[in-house]
Amino acid sequence: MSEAYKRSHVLGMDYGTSFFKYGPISLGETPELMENRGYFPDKDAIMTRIMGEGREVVVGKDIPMYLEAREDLPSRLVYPFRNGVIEKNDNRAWQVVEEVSRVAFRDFTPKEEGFAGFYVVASLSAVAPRYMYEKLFDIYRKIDSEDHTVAAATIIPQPLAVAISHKVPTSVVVESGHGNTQITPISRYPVRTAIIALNRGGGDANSITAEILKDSGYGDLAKEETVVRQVKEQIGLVPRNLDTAVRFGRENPDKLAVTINIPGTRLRITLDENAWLRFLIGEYVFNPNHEMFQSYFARGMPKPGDVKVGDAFFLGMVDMGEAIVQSIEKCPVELQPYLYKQIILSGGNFEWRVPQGLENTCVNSVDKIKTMLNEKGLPDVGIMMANSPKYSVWRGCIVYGYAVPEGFNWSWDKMEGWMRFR
Amino acid sequence: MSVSRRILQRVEKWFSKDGLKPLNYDGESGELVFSNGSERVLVKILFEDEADKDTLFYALTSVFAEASKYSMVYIAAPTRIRRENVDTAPFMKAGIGLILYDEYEVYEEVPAESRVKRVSSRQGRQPVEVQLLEKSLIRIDSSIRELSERVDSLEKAYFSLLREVREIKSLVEKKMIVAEKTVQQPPVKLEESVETGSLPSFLKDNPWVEILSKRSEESS
Repeated sequence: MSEAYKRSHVLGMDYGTSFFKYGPISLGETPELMENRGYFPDKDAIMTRIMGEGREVVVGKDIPMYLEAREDLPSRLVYPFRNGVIEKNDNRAWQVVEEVSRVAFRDFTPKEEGFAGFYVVASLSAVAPRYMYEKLFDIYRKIDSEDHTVAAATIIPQPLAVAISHKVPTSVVVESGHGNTQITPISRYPVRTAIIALNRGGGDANSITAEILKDSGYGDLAKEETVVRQVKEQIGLVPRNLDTAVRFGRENPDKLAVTINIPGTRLRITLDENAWLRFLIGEYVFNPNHEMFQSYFARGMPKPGDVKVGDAFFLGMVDMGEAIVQSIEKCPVELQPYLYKQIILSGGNFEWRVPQGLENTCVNSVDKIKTMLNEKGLPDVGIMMANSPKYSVWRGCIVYGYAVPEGFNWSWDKMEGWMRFR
Repeated sequence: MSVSRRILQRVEKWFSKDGLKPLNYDGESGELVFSNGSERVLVKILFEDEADKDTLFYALTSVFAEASKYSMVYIAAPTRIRRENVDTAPFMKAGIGLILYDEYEVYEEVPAESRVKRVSSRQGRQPVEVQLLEKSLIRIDSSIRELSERVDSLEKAYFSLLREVREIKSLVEKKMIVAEKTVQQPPVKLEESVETGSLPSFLKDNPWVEILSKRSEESS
């Protein structure tokens, strides 16, 4: 296949924790996206019978049409990438991965004559073990054997894709999604030995938000994940310094008091006297070690523990500044100053806003990390937020597929190149 | 379509089963002549508004006078004429056939005698019962053919509906997202993009393009 053909037939697929972003290079700046989840319907349900025979798993916008009893959801609704890593034998999760991948091919396979398959660039978590690569290649092999839609495929770590889309060859990418946070130094290649993963992400911010809702008299709402997430996004604040912020909040409750409506419902949630609790949500993402969180742990809120998922270790309680320092210090000393100068924060878990009038007390993620690193004796650091964090991984995939030569075959040693199935 | 036109069509269809095609129609007298090349059949049609017992027998008298010119002669009347207790014996005696029609079908009440046969082979003439049986067989055969055609067309309609249902199902599978999608631009060939300078912003001046394009060299 020619280089020109490859360049015009790159298809990016970003298997994010919450969303699957996909589409060919011809889409331009933004990909298609769908929730990265699958629903295993009850085969006796009426909707299943109406919508077609034998659909084992439903993905995309069809899911709401199949949803049944609420108590069934946890067992039937599968988010395969919630932790970035899928267990080897988690067949349901892999079924969802296959189905969402098929949607990408189904949506974009052109009818043009001479179409000989896409050059697929997929992106997985930096801590994805080798068997995940093998499984994903198997899925593409299967799809190609049925539809002839994959000319070749490759898989790259998500942080590398972020660095590529930001045009920065030397950097540290801190990717924080729903389930975890990965810190990946990159110097033309990902420095795999220096990757640090934290067992904390947006889901943990949801947990503390749920506790705050309970404490404020909204215990019934605390069970609904979607409501909790919306509340977190609307009321969560990142304090410059937690102690100072809490003191300020207690003295000036009117400045932090908030009433929010859940869109499309009659639900109204009000925090007034205890509105200072809003600071705990943001702080928890960056540093869960403050003594204020101890009372929540004592009351049963799960404490992020050190876990091993697949072959990867995820640290639970290390604060984010410390984790970045640990990761960079695993790289050659000469490289470290360059890495500190280009720290890219990516992922929905870094999207915190600073309300007007609270600029002295609240900060955004960039300033929070800068403050944390300054406190660790690093005054001269360069931190930036990823542009369009939702799409940056997909964009990196597209650049990767566009640039890597067609003749560069996959190597399991380097974990790079094009894997071919024909 | 007018009522009279529909009745004419029904009658034409009924005779077409015997290979007879309409040759001439006199709207004033309501007389329709069929032919299959060798035989000619006269049918006098009594329409709904004029048909009663009296007009029926008047029609019988009028066609009887002309009967010798045709192989067979029929009178077509609406089915409701049965309610008037019409005596069909004069029809049988005269060898004039009587057919009745309604909204959907045409029925043969009294078969007409074939005058051709009477003239050409009086001696070898078959009994009326045998003639009737032959005619019935022909009708059954033609009915079977018609049913078979109907089954064929129903089958075609079924398969076409099945195809449509499958297409709709596959559209549904492609979810409502398709409807929500903004009109998707046709894929732009990248070469065209390069020429027009419309590369996506993240590809323009990206140092990684050069770094990655040398990957195979670094590897070897």
